[in-house]
Amino acid sequence: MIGRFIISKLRHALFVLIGVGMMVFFLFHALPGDPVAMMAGQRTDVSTRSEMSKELGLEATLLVQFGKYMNDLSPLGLHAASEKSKYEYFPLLKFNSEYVLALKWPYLRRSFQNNRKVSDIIKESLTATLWLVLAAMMFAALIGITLGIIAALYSGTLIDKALIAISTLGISIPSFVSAVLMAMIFGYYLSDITGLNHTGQLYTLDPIKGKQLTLKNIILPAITLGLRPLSIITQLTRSSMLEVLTTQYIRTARAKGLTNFQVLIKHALPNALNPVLTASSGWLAGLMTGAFFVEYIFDWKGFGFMTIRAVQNLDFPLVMGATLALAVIFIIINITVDILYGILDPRIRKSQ
Amino acid sequence: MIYPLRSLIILFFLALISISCEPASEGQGERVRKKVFRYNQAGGISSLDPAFARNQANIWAISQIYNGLFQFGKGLNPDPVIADSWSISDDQLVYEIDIRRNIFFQDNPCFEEGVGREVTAHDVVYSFKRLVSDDLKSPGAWVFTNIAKKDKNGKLASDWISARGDFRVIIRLDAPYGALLERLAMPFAYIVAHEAVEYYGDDFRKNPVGSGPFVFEVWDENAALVLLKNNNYWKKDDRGRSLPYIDAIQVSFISDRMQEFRTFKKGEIDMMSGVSTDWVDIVLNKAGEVRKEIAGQFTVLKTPYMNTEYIGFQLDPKQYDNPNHPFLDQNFRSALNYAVNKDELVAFLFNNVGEAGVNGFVPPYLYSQVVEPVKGIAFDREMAANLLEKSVYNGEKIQLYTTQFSKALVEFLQKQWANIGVEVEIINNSVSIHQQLVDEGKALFFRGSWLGDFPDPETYLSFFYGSNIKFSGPNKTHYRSGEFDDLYKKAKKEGDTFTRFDMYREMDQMVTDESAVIVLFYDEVVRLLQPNIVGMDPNPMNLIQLEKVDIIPGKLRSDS
Repeated sequence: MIGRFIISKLRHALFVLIGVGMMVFFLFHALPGDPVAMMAGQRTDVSTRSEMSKELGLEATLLVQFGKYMNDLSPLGLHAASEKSKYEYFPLLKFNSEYVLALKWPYLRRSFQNNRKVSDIIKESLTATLWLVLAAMMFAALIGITLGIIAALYSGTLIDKALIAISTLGISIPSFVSAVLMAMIFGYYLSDITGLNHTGQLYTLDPIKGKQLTLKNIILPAITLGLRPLSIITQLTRSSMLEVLTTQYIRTARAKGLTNFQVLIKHALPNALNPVLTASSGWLAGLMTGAFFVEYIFDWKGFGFMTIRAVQNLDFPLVMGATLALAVIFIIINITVDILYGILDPRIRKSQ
Repeated sequence: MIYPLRSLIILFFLALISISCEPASEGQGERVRKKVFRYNQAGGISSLDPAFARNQANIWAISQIYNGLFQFGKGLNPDPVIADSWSISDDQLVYEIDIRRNIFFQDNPCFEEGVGREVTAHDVVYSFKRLVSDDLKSPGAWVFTNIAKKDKNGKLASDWISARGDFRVIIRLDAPYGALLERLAMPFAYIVAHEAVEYYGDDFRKNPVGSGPFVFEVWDENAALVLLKNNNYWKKDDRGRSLPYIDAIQVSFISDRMQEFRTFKKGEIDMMSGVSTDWVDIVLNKAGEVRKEIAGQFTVLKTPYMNTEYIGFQLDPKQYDNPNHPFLDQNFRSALNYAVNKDELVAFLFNNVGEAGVNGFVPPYLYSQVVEPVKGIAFDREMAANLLEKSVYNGEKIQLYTTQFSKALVEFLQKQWANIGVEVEIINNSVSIHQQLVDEGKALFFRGSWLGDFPDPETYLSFFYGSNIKFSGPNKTHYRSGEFDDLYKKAKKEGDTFTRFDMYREMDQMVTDESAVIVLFYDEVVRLLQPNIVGMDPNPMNLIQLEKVDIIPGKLRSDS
């Protein structure tokens, strides 16, 4: 039963992916701008340009191009026998001396701009973004829960009202505004005091010392990205804490003679955190995409930064690869959540 | 229920600890003794393969790793590097170039036993044939394709380049061509080893193996590029010391120019190049001099840069619905040209970095050694008003196509033109779209810049050559004149430099008088260096050669 449910979900996912691929492919080709112009020099002659264009497969009709792209993407594809090293495929069926039906990892091609494998670029930039998102979530959870508890404990006082006001501001401020503000204030005007840069990577390469972790560079972008989840977590924690604190078992705990701190940490907090956890686990994917502006402003060379640059350069394989990767991330998260709900609630399974 | 959160926290810190435990701080003392030259490349580097040396970022890094037969040094003429001596046949069609012995490729696993072998004439033949091959599709194939010897079908003849013995290269041309050595000095024509190209295949772009002063060490496309000293480099300085003096080069990729400047001020990079309107005011006053507050803190180098900034017109009547469009009227074009105060533009917008465009399309210093530069169009508002009166212009609003990067500049122009009563609307596009509109001839009035490929007027005048009109060819304005084309062909074949330059001057005067483009200014490069850097020669191609650069210890160097 649950198996069939999962299969139907996966089938949906496949259609979504094909749909996304098709949309992006045709949208991208509807855009003005010539990728070859972005690769050639000012004096590159016409024959070289048309050779480049041929190499990129831009000479064929759109439908043929799309078919070829889908063939490259599909794990089961028809490939020239001579292209084994390019696709790293596993041959299944030989048609003639030229073509084989083969099994492979989806091949995302190479970047127009620098000829790197798109899959490598995506892997690398996703890792950078993942660290940023994790750091942001950590920051948001730790500070947000603490502030939420404080607000709940002092509910109705000036502290509580101030915290609510500030966190409401935090929720409503768009990330590109907060990113610019943070970068300018702490990374620029106050950089002598904070010692922080407004741009920088997680790793720096030094000719003598080699690759070095530079943790301070993640601080500002992580805080900026974490501001909105922080505000939401603060308010969620506050309200659920307030609710829990009125329950009977808290009164019992107090009656037992436990200190305020013990009541709070051992009894109230675990229950109060339930809704917070449920909500925040769902934001991970949202944060990955919310990181676009933050990465661009802080020059953090993650997934968002890479994608924006690829669009600027008309780097078609990279734009396609990035969009598909993003779609896959969302699909995986959604399917996991659906399956979990399905396991927990049989009604959902049956309705499918 | 708190467990998932707690384990997440623990996991995160474990991960942090594990990545921070990578070997990090070995030998803080070593840093003091090692000389590392550091510069920034805001847009990143896309390839270290000489055949893809298509922009300044790639060229700078590639020039440290590779050698060419010739290379540009201080002046405008190329210096022999791998080339030792050369002779030109009487009909000027055959160049025989002897190459130096005892130049070795850098040690690399692609060679037998990992030891670099001697560079021979066969490597030159291989590198040049590779550059023009259809398989490679190099953006630099034009360096040879339009001048080398052709066969009956108009394709490159099989013997356009050949080797005689191991140390002589023979290049055959289709017609005499005066600037071959300049072309040979372009980074596109640097010498690569076939072993490396075959060994690394598609990844040759990030595994460069040359014979230059620095050896590739590591390139993380998001963080930095590191090159180390080539201990077996063949060149010695005048006193017999082996080059290079410095131990390593570190190229960072900070995209933000302001952040780059602050990093420079902190002493964490050694050089900054190129004016950015963001920081030019901090460094130079309006007269173009170094500001008093920072005088002595860094070295400022200023040098002409072979770049002409212009506003172009589409000159092909077929692109217009209206055959009497003002852009097709020379009086109107000249009126717009006379209306621009170019001196004020350079002073006001760029703190006098650059030279006002009051000569021809070719930067005047390119002629300076040979003939007088062209007399161009300087600001004269009365003249502009008179010409406008005579033109077919009847008050319609005209549109200027540009990109966001020229915002300040085009707004300045807009005001200048408004002063003579021409209303200009600015149309902003992204770089790629702007380029396509210009290439397709759809932008009838557009902002552009033309970067000389090598120091010879020919590279500028090819911009107006009729055969270059094809889609996305260099002739962006679709300028067409039989007289000009005849001269261009004749000049290309002319062996005598004086006669050749005279012809170029005549052609330049022709397009200038017709106001085919409005020349705004000729660029200059401003480079800032930390005061302890010596041996950096500015160069009109905006190249950098780090083999003779040294870092004097003891002088202000914040981190060592």
